[in-house]
Amino acid sequence: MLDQNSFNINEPQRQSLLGVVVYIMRNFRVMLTLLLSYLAVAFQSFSVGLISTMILLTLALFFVVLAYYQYRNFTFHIEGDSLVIHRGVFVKDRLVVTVDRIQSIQITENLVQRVLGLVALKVDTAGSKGSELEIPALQRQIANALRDVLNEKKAEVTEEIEVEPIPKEVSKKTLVKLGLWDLIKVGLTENHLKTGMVAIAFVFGTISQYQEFLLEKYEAEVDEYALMAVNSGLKVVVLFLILYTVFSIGLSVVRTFLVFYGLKAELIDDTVNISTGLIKRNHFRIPKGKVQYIQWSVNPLRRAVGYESALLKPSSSMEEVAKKQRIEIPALRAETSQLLAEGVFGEYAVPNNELSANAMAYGRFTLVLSAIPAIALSIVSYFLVPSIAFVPALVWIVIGVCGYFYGRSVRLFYDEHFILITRGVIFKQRVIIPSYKMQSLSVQSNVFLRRRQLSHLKLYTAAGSKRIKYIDTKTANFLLNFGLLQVEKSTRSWM
Amino acid sequence: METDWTNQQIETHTIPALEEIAFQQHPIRYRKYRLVSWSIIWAILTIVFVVVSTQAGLNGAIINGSVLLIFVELGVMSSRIGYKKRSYALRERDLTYKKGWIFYSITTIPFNRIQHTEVSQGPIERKFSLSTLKIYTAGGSTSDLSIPGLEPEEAQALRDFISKKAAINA
Repeated sequence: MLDQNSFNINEPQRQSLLGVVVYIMRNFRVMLTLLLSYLAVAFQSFSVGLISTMILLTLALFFVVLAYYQYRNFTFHIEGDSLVIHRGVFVKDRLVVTVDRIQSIQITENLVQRVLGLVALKVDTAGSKGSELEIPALQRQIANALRDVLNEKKAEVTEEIEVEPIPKEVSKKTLVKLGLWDLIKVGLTENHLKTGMVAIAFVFGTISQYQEFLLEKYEAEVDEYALMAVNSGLKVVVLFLILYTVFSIGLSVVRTFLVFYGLKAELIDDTVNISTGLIKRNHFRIPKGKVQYIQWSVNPLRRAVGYESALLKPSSSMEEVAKKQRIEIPALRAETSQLLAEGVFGEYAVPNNELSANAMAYGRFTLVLSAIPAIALSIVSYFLVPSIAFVPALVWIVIGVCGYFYGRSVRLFYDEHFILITRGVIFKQRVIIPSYKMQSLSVQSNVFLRRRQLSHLKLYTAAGSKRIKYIDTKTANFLLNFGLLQVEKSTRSWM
Repeated sequence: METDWTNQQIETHTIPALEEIAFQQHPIRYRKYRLVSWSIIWAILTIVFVVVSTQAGLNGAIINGSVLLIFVELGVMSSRIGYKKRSYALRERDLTYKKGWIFYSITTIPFNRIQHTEVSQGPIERKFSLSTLKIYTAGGSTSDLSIPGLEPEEAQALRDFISKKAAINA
């Protein structure tokens, strides 16, 4: 399996020498911030520029040397049943993970690693935060071999304890394989409003960080443009909207290509395998049992092309991984969605008991919530332009009606095996939770709701909680009892 | 809109109902404990009040004073009524805790989902000889249950019982 002559995994091993470059690029990320501040001060005067350039060059040299030592001091090997990593330049670390603690092993590569032909091996362990180990610069064969060795050892150890033969049959089902055309469709049907907002927030964040410097440089130009903008009024607003739309859509498409390029989702044996990404390619392998719930969502655009996206939520020991790298499948057809649910949860059918929330309560709640701004706006507009004082009141009522219709869309389906929550009028969402995977249940209410005999039901899972609001208290209590029965009856392992 | 479900079959099953079991209240000195720990917060608030009102003049003092009084009143009420509303119940397979006066909640944790348990005692609790039982699940910090104001022996006994049950199920 491993080349025994040059590579003995039982002895401390260095990574590929090219790893130095990986470390340099990592350090460069720190440098980038420094570089920006350098640019901000360097052009003030010749002497300041000279000094800061020298400081910058010294730091750059330091980081290159640091990278070399980071590479040199990093070794890994297998000692008995543990993976041992030594690392650190100023502070030396010795990290030991026993194989039975390993939750998952991932192989990832980013742009730098891909250019160098290297991959990173990430080992996620159960337990506290940041318990992820990473070997950032390995040759692919070595990474694969190491993963196999670790997996084998893990299988041996767990077999000794559980005495449960691991089924060897290989079943493989491809769920999705995104082609170019699919990618474009997904990109065009992203939530552009959100992408645009995020981009704007990012741009403003960056600008405010270097505001002083930028303002000083371009103050005159900015003033000029601002004046022009004020003078041309509506034209600028329209132009801005067009620019914003084009920009958002463009960004959505680019982002989609970066994240979902070549996405392939497969069910192999007891795992869900997803590989995705253009520059940074991720290969997820999630054991089916770890998936706590699946959440589908769809916007009107995407529904129009017949797709919906699904989010797999694994239990919290992997939550760190899940948060950093979204385990999302963006383009599922209705039948593939069904296939995914069946594949992950075993048999799946829509639970046959249906329940709806109290839509009036939703309407009332949105009315109460928006009452204060509505009244304030009404008063203000009454004093400014009395003729349009009724507009905020009208908007207020519309908001209440929207709340009502949203409430009408909330549905809970339940039976012994599954809980299905669907909600949303325009942006539809549905969540499937296997009943036995719940961690605890709670019925919540307050003095205002109690008068109307209404409660919220909160379902906690190991990957976050879901709440169904405004249901009849009696029903909520019944569901609490019913849900508990399903959890307590179950002897299946939930993670 | 009224809630309705379409399947009668489940209702005919006998599902153990939480509503039918007897809930246990905290020892009466827990109420006193809550009053005392509240009064520490009031004391701090009062200091702030004195400092602010010496600078804000008479009108300011009256406004601040009345706000403070409302808080004090609320605190007393909440420790009285809140005490009455707090209760817990142990069943064969789960533990339930009810609490809340304005915001009411009832939470149940099945033993086969418990990660670990803990009994703790703060400095004021020690004076009153009370303990807090904490139960952790994998559902994140919001789903963790903490039952304050228990007799130390009972907290210990509860913990032992629960961890034994949890170990069987694990």
